[in-house]
Amino acid sequence: MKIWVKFVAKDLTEGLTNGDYEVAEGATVLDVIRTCENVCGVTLPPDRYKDFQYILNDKAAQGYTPVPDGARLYVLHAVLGG
Amino acid sequence: MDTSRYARQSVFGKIGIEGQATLASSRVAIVGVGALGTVGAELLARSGVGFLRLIDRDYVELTNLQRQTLFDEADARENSPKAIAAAEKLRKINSEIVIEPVVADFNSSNAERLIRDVDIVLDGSDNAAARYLINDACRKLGKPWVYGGAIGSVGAVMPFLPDGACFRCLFPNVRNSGESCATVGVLNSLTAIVASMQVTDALKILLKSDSLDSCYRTFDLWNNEFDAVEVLQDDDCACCAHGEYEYLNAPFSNNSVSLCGRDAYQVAGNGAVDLDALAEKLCAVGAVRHGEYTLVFESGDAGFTLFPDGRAIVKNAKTAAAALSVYNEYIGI
Repeated sequence: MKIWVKFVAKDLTEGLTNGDYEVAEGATVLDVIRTCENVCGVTLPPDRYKDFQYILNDKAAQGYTPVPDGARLYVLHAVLGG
Repeated sequence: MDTSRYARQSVFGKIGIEGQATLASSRVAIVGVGALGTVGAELLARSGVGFLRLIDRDYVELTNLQRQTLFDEADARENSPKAIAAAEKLRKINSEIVIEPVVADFNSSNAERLIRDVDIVLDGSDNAAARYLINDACRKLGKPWVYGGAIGSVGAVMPFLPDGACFRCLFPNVRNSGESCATVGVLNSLTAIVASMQVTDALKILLKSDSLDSCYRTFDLWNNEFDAVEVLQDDDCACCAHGEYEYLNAPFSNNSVSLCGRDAYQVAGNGAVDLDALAEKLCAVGAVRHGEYTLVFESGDAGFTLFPDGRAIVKNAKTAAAALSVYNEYIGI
C-alpha cells in the first residue's frame, strides 16, 4: 500500500525525502520510517526516534500505530525553546 | 483613550474601530517573559490590549539581551526580575493600559488563579512541563492559548481553543530533549517571528476572526522551510477527551527543585524571606548585592538569586540535590 510521508523535522531527518512510499499491509508508523530509511539509503541514529512526533491523517500517532492505505504521515518534533 | 494612537491598526479592516474597542477591554496573561514573552507583550501593549499579566520567575542576565527586547544593560546589571523590568518598559510604551507583573514560578499551585480572569494565555515558556500545565489549566477553565516554540532557527506556533485539539492531542507525551537555547542557540529573528505569529493568532481569537485555523505551523528560517500541519482533536486524549489534568493536579511542594536553564535550579523555598536580614548575615561569607526585588549572593562556586517570596535560582548547580544543599546552607529550609 502507498503512504505519503512528509518530514517536517528536517534537521533530524536529513537525507530522507518527502513523498509516496510503498509499504506492506499492516505496517506501523515505525515500519514506514524504516522503509523510508531503506529507500533513501539513510540510517538514523537509534535514539533519534524518541524525538519524533507523528501526525497520521491529522491526528497524533505512536510508533506502533497501524498505518492505513493512502495515509498522510507527518514526522515532526516538538519545539520547546522559548 | 486617545484613539489616534491606534489609527494604523483600527483602519485595518479586520480590526476596525469596534475591534480596537474589544482589544481595549481584553485581558491577556503571558506565561514567561523571555524571548517570546517580551516580543509578545510589547506587540500586545502597542496593539492596545487593555490588560497584560506578565508572569515570570527569572531575572535579567546579559545573555538575554540578544533577543529579549524589553531589557537593557541596566536590567542585567541589577539582575532585575524580568516581569518587573518588562512592566516598567511597557508602561513607558503605553501608559493607557494596565500591566500587572507577577514575579513567580507558574506552577500547579497558582496556575488557575493566574489565568482565571483573563481572556487568553500567551505561551512564553521554554519547557514541556510548563506547556502541559498551561494546557491543563486553560482546558479546565475553558480558555484559549497560543503555543510558541523556538530553538536554533526552528520555530513553531499553534493556537488552542477550548473546543478544539489541545497541546496533548498534538504532543501526547513529549519530554525535554536536553537541547535548549542555552546549548544550541537561537536566532533573535526567529523568536521575533514566532512571537509575532502568536500575537496575530491571539488577536484573531480575541476578535473572533474566522481566519484562525487549527494548524501546527513550523518553520526553519535558516533553511527556508515552512510547513503547516492540520491537527484534529484526539478522541482518546488524556487531557481534553478524558479530563485528566496531570500537570495541574500534580502536588506542589515548597521543597521542589526544577531545572531552570543551564546548570541552574529553582528552589521553591518555604515562603517569604526578609532579604535585608539575610543580606546582613550573608555579607560575612560572600559577596551580596541587594536590590528592591532580589538578593544576589556569590561565594566561590556557590551562588544564587533570591526573591522575597523565598524562591531562589541557584547557579552552578550540577544536580537538584546540589542546588537544595546550597539553599539549605545559606538560606535554610
